[in-house]
Amino acid sequence: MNFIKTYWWKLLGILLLIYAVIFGLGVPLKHGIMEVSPLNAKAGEQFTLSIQGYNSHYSDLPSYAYLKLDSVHYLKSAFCSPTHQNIMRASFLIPTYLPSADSVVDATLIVDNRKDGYAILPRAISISQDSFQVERGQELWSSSNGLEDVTIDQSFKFPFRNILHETVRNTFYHVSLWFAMFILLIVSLYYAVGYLRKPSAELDRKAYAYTAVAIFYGILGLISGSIWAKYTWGTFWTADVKLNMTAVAMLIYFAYLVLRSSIPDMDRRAKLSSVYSIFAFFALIALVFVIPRLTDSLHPGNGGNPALGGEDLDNTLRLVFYPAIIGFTLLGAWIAQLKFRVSRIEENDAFNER
Amino acid sequence: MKEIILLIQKDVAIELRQGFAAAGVILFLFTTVFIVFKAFAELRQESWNVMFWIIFLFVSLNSILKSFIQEDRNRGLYYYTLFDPVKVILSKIIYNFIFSLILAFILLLLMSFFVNNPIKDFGLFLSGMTLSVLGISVIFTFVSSISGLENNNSTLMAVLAMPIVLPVLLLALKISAEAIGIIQDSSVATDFLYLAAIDLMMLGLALILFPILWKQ
Repeated sequence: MNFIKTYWWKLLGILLLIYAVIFGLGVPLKHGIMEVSPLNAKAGEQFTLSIQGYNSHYSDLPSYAYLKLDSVHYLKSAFCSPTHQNIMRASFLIPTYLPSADSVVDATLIVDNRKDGYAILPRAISISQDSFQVERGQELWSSSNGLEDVTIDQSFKFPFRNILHETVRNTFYHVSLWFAMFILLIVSLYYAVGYLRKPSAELDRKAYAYTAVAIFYGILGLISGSIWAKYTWGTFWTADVKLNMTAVAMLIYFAYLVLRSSIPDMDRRAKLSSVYSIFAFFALIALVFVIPRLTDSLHPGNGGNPALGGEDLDNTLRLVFYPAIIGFTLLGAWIAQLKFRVSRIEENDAFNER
Repeated sequence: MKEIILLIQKDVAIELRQGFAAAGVILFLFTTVFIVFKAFAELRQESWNVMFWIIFLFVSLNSILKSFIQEDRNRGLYYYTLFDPVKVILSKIIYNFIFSLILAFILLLLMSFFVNNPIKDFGLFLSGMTLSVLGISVIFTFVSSISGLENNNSTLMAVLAMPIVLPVLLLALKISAEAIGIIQDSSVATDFLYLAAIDLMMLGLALILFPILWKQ
């Protein structure tokens, strides 16, 4: 019983991480549309679109495809013929006129069936028209909110995101590593301030151990982020501001390590490095606010990219994401605890030998 | 207040007594600008902006670095018995700020003379420069007080100071880019607000943390 009382948080951390790994990797994605062809259509023609779906069951039951021009105007497919669970051909009879005065209009594709729920591909194809008659077009295109009867998949699945696809799961590991890093840095800041208020070797060891684990998490976050960037943005490293801010954060804390290693005297090392880490942490906070003002970022929350919140991080993702943050933080605290206990033993041994 | 002025006067006196140091810094500026002038056949606006701040950064790093080196240990102990540490760091910061501001003006003159002067909005450039120089001198002075306690290691100083000075430097680059007319942004006022907030935050931290360092 005592065992549980003392170590409950380690157990909790491990359980949360196991949960994050099993559910984060095991839960399937929702129905989605990978790609369509051809990409261009003309008004007034019979148009056949080849649709490649993802996690879909087109052969099992009838599916419907819709082309949506704006919030009211849409067109239902004449018929859909599946050739495979993931592939089908949808035919549309596109009216002669579009409900728009533009010569080219982007249409959003929606595919729906009773089993998979609906999937959306924004700006899937563009439809061109030679002459416009807006009012006639408005009559020809269905203009009700008839799309409200699409099926919503209620089962526990992660959302399908264009470009991200399966890599959306990296949210649980890459992003939560960053959150855990910041929490560990704040803990380390707390011990550094504590040291300056009332110096003791123990507090310095704790501050150092937490910073070291945070740096380790930072490196892991950089690596996982780079691999993710390779899959989604096509390159390991970009001029993206958040990446470079992270690089600077790492530079600051590497400088902290250099400072520590350059001072042999224990008391001075503790004092100087605590002072520096407090100063550096606030500079880092300043950087967090300044850098997003300079350029656009590819990351969520900048330059038109959706942020963490809203529809980007939906409830099913949150259900794994938040536990993963807590799990990584607790694991980090455990590693830090082992680290400062080892260094305490080493220092005591060195002291006894003298 | 009287003590701060006294300490600043002492720094000025030391600076004037070893006149070669100040002259050396100005010569450093001169040669760097000349190298830039020779190396770039034609310096475009963007490069002018970047060169200005890079040169300034290294010159001020060099000149502020020595602010705690020139105090030997015994003299430090003597000050410790005489003055409040807050006044010591404040006087150092004010002195370094004025000295760096003079250096920035000299750099501006030299750049305009040898290379060219693309600045369109002088008021904006000078006010942005003043605030940025304040931030840079606060950070460099404080970091030099950390590294000054540790055998005056200049590499350590650069490694410690460069990442911390980055937020100020980035805002400095942005504001001067606006003054030159490279970018047009309606939120200059917010940039100034951020810059002033960072300056104040760093100044406050330096004033709080320096007495702790000083106690050893």
